Amino acid sequence: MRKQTKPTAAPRLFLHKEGLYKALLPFVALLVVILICAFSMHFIVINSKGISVKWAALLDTLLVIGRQATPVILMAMAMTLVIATKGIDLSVGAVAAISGVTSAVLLLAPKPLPLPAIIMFCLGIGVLAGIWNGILVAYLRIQPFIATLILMVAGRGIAQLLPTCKPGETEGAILTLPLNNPHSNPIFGQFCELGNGAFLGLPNRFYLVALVCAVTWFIARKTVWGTYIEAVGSNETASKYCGVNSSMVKVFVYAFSGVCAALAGLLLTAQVASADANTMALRDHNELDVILGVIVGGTAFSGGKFSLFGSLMGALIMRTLIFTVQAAGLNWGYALAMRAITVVIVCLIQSPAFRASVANIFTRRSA
Amino acid sequence: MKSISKTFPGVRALSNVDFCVKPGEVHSVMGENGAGKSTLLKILTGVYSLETGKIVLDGKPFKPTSPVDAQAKGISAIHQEVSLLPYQSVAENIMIGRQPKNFFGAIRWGELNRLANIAMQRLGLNIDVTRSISDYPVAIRQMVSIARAVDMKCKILVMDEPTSSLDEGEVKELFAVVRNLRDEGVGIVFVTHFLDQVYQITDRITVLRNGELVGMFEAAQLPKLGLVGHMLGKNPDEVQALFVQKAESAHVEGSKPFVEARGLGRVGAVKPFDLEIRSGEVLGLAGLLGSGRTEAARLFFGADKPTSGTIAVDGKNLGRLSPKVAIDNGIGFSPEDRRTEGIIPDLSVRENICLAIHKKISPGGFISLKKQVEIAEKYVKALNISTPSIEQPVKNLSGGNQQKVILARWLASQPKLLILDEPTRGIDVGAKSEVETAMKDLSKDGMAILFISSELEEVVRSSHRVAVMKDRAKIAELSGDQIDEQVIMSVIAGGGQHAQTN
Repeated sequence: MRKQTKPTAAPRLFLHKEGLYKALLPFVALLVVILICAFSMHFIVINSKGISVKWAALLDTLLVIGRQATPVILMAMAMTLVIATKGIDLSVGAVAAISGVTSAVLLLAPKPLPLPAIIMFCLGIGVLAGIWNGILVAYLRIQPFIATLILMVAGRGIAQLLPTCKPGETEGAILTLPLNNPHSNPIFGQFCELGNGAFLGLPNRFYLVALVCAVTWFIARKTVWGTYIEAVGSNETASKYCGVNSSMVKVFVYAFSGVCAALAGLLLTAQVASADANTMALRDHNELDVILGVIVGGTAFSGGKFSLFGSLMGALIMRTLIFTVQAAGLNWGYALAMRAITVVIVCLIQSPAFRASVANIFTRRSA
Repeated sequence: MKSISKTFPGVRALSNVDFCVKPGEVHSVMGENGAGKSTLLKILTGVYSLETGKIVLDGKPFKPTSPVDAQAKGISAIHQEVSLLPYQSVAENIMIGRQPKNFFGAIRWGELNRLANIAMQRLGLNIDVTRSISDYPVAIRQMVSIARAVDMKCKILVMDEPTSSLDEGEVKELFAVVRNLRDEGVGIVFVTHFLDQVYQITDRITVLRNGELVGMFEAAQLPKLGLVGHMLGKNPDEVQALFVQKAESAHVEGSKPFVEARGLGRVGAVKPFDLEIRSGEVLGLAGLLGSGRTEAARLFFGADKPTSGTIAVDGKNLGRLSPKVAIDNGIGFSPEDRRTEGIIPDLSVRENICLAIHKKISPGGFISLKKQVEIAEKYVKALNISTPSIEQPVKNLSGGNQQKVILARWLASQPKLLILDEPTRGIDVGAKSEVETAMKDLSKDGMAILFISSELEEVVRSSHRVAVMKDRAKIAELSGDQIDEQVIMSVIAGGGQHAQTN
């Protein structure tokens, strides 16, 4: 009797504990991806003598990945909220590019503003961009995909044209902050130090990520906004009838997404002490990494419930994959393919229909 | 059609219904919502497949596999929502799928327009067939649908609520066309919620109730009152005896009105009406489906924006009404369509209950889980909501329990007026009586309640006053002894002539 029930119970236990399972899955997926990375870079070697692990090298690599992932994580936090309202923000990459290039333009001005003013100005641009998206979506009722596509396209153009604001520069030039020149303004150093420096042994940007994650979590779980976001994404009409100002909620999430994107743009510029409008605007498909990260993290496009932790894991997964492919010296094309495959696998595992059919196979075999 | 049955998961939509249309007659199918009219007609027009029973067309067995198949065999349908291609020309719409083509397969536009013109002229309409459908009013669009059906040599034309978006003049034109078709020998099946129109045009009437056939009647021999009786399942003789009784409006002694509507109305939804709701009373809105009762209730909450009239709460004019303003003024609203407008499916029972009261329980926007749990547990217990825990997503609950969660949401907001649109629809008997008991207790505590139900018995049982709606207008207000199923039916059937309008 016991023998009969046991195999059917096993997949049930594993596959139907929705809550725990959903929370753990992105984490497990990240561990798997990190393992793949470690093996491919020979940090973990298995031979006749057993398993040897190069801890120091592995940790260093993880730090590098973490640093590279920062902009994507920042944007993924806000994107999670946007997607939870049944929306999408395609313009984050473009907004990051505008913010990054703007910061460089302002820094390179003959008499630059004080650093905090420059940062606030760039973040302000992000807020405005987000409010623009929000108004298109919430008040003009344009499909979020199309509404943010407008800024995605326009923003890339703006980012490329911005350097021409500086006299003497031609269109789309690379704006480099002359760090090594002793005569140059110390503000360049300060700016890059903020983005790249370390405090108590950890990169500054880790504290920034921690702060943004904490703020997002607080908004989402400790204030009414989180409930309203889920309510609007799950059933907009019903939430309106409960007195929820759904348009305000939407403008809020897009504005938040804009700020986070602008912040990410500042980091991108500080990272390499230059703002290459062409790279930022055209080649880096940051928004796609962000959106894929959120999907992998388990937040549904149908709106409603969302997982910030999942998005954090998802963003790390996407960056780890890219790092692994790049470090192995493979063609960039492989990175794209790896991303696609990972997304398909994770989505399949998350699909209730797919899990049910897998569970079915288990039960049938055991019967 | 003989012994037609159709079962949907969990529901038997039709059982053993017979139905027969003769060429050259207009045949109405009547019944309340959920009686099975649409199901029957959808089987006839091939939208649903035939389960049991058989259909005979012109002496030959007929089994439509799809709407296209049914059309090809001579049964065309014209739906409430006109199904045309809005940006194509009238001619293209009439000839779609049957465009005349030349040797190379290209469409012969001149010939197409000529044929379309002939089709429209057969209905007595002379319009420019090359213009796009969206340039014409709904009435003309309806005519185009009919022209298409007629041009396809249809033997039976099914018209589902064709007049619901037409004004009186347009209805007249439509009926003229329908009579023409009838005289040409087309069998016409006509469905409407407007009783008067049934008698203007129909030869025979088939009445359905709860998926069963009540009977087929000659329209001339079935008085309006009898028809209403059949639709609601009451003895027509019993109703007949009361037909002469004059319903009078009377004022209930009691508190001053909490909400006053003056000339409140919305174009195309409900004609301007006056209505007062007093604290501590249950005001029932009675009327057949489509009579405007839901539309009227939605205006009180600002769910739809009124196009005329004003609403005053406690003597204070509210101005531009929106759900938010309504809630701030102590009005709660449980909508008719619980699934699409009521529950937030992904949120938990706790979050659903607390959603409308965050202004009160979350000062500064910071939520307190403890307070929410307290409130949720209180109402889960008070309303006997059966759920494994208050953290269960509400989509996993049964319909009755979802309804109670919505009720709990509004009770938690401690409203002064609660609008309940069909709170008892689709829930089991136990839950129904719990909802009714809750209403009674609440009104005793001084809450005003606006109550809508398709089930007349419920309205009669629960209401202190009843406003009767018909054809999108309020036609009477009843109180005291007048609140009686038969009186309400006679008022609906009498078209307001026998009741003193208020």
